Amino acid sequence: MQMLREGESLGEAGKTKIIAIILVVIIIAGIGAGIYYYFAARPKPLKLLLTYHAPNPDERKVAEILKATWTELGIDLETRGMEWDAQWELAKADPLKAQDVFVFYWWPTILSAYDYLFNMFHSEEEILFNLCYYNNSEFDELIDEAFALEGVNRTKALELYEEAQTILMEDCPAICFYDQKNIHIIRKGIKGYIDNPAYPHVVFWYELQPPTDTENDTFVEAWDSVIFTTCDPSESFSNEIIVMHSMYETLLRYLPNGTIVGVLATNWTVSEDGKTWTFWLRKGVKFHDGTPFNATAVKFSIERTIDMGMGAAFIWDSVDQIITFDDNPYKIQFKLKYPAPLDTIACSSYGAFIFSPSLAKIGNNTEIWQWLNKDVFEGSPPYSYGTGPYYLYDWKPGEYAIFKKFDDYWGGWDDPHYEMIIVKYVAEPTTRKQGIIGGDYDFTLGLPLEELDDVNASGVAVVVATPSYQNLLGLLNTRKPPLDNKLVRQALAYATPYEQIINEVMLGKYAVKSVGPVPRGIFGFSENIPQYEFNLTKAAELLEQAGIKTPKSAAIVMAYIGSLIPCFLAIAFSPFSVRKRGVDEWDSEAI
Amino acid sequence: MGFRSYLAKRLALSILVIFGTITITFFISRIVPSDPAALWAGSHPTHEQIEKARKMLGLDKPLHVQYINYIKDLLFGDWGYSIRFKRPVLLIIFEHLPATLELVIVGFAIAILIGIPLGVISAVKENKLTDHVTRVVSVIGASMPVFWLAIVLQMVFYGKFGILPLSGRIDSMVMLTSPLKEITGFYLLDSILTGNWIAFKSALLHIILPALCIATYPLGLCTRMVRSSMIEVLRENYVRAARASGLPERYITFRYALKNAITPAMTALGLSFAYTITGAFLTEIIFDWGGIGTYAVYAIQNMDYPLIVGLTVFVSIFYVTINLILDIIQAIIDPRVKY
Repeated sequence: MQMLREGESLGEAGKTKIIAIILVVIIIAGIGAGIYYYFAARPKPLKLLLTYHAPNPDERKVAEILKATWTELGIDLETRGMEWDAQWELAKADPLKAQDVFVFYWWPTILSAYDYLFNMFHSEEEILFNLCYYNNSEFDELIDEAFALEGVNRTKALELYEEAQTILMEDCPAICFYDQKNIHIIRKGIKGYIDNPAYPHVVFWYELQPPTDTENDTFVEAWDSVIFTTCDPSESFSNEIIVMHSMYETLLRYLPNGTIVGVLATNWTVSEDGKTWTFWLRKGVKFHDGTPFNATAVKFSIERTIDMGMGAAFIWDSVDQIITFDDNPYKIQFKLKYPAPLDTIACSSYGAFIFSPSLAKIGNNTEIWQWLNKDVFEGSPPYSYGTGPYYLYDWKPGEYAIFKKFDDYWGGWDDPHYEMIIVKYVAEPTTRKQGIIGGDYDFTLGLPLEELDDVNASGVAVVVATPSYQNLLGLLNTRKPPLDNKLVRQALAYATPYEQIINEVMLGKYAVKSVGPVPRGIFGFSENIPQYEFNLTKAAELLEQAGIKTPKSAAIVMAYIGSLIPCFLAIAFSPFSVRKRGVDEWDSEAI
Repeated sequence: MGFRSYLAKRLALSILVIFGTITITFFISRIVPSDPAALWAGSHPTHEQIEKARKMLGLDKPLHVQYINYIKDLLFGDWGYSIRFKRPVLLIIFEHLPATLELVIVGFAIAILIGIPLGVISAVKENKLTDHVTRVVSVIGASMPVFWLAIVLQMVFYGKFGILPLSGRIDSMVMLTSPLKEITGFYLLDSILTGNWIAFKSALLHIILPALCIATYPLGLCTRMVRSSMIEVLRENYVRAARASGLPERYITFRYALKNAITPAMTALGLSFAYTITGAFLTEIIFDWGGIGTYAVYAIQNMDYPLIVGLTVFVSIFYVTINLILDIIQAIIDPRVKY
């Protein structure tokens, strides 16, 4: 290209050239700006990952509702259904690469707010169930102190739990969706059935009264998964809960109204420091094998459970020493390492069973385990070693288990009771539904919610829906940006359509909105803690406060059009258009 | 190539296939992102529990050592412990195989007993109304979704008429009042052997619906195979010669033609038998049958990897063996098979 010399006027060609250059610059700048805007400056949707347990339809539906709702905030939520252990594995590996939202159901082993607050929110050295990676020493201290006080000063403990939960709700490491109801289906006319949420899905058979109009003395349960995963009461931590509680008993039992009553213990006291617990045991109790029940049996059972360290053995973590007394075989004392509510612990749904000390004759812990889990039982029934009202009569692994009444049960058999119980594993929901309507089964569960009205309408069976201690939570990743910002977490809690979720997923009647991470009915539950209601405007405000720019629904379109403008310009002023206007010389000169 | 070397070659190939299956399933089960030790330890395990379980299951050793150990254990009959059931895998398989086999055998018996006559009739009445009806029925049979059929059968025969039991292998009350002594694990056979007629009746009533479900596919297959080969055979010269010499038609059809027409149908049925052993799981689940199909589903749902691997290996051995036996039988009876 020539340089202009002084005094030389610009010819027509020169003018065109300059215009062309300016145009090219504008076009390049325009395209550059467009690219910059599109890839860097334009607000991008916030990408978040939510994981849930794939086989669970409730969790899937919740994930879908969240995805649809959060789009309005410009959040692109990936919902990933996974097998439980894969979901858990991802969460445990590296918080910075893990999910943002971890959806799961929680149910307690120890019936205390501590079970929920400790497992999911107490800081952990190695990640286990604190899958929001929450770390707040103030909160930790509060709940530890509350748990220690539970046994001695419940009012104070309750205050501390409330304080801890207030902090938690403010920090918002989790979205609390709903407290679920337990749904069971039982034959009409059977009396005495009470669903006790402390022992999920357990039917206390002894309390049932057969219908008066039939001669039937057998109660048949159709269960939706394999009945026994183990026959060892020390190890049990799974499905067999439904049969264990009628074969084996615990010292105390937790009632649905929150009170604790004695079963194998009749009375109990605690020292002022909460570290010494004394139980007085029921007299005249026999184990299924005829061995008399006393303090030695309690000591043997609990020590074996602790030694084996399987299943729910951790509930006895606080126990230092178990003392029996020579002068009184019905008195037993627990010395604790630290104060803990041993009465609640003794009610636990798992790990707190008392069994016959005659098992010690079989050998060491492992040999007893092998004996109890034999493929073919030796000798004649009973094949269980508890004090419960029913003993194990026959068992076909993976198919059914039969129980018969234990004649020497301490509660006696004067009132009407069932003689025999059959628990079957029936995998297919339609088969269970047909069976309960057709009269083959007296009790079942796990039908799709949509089918429950059919069952009620049949007039043969009734659907019993009672509050449970199971709640659905979405644990938020408090370590990974942007959720490490409290405001973003709060925004998500406000952006959750609680009502819609309960209406669509639980048909509006099988769950209630959670107040906090601790469900109603559990000691430590409090209504006086901050709440989140569905409010998208508030959520958007919080996101903005947190400095997160996401495209709003309309904004997405605008951004798209915005990024196209430079392209239009580029086309309008491209050399091809110029040529059309008859400035052909530009080409030849420039080259 | 003589028969012996043919046998040796087929045997070697079979072993190779089984070995390949074992290797692939082993590595797949180790790649899957899950922690068997955590599963073994239970639903809310502590770290010590998981570590303990890892040691116990030998998962702390390097992968190649695990693989060698696994092959060694397989050969010596130690197929590992099921995580969910905490019982030996091989024991679970052998305990529940008879249930599945009984169901599949009865199903196939129904299929053959109905399928062969249907196929013959269809071929004899070629392109007549009977033939068209039979063909439509056999196509429906071969392509009907079995879970749907199972539920419909339950709704009709249990729900509506109440004449057949809903599910299970035997009535649980019968098991209590006149318990069946298990000898072979086949309830029908055991009840006959012990002369327990109450149990026999119960077991027979229980097997009808699931066996019908199992039968639909092979029934359709059998009818179609027999029909097509019968049509071919009926056009052969020797059949024409037999007709010309005035032999009765029924005699020609069943004595001469069917004998030749049945071989291809039997081969196809043999293979589909091996296949149905695992394919029966839908029927098994709906009818609560408790065979190995039920366990396969349960194992997969619960990531019970020793059981999954065990069942896979077992089924592959079963399949390959049946295949091998069929090949050998065919080689023996049909000299035209090339070695």
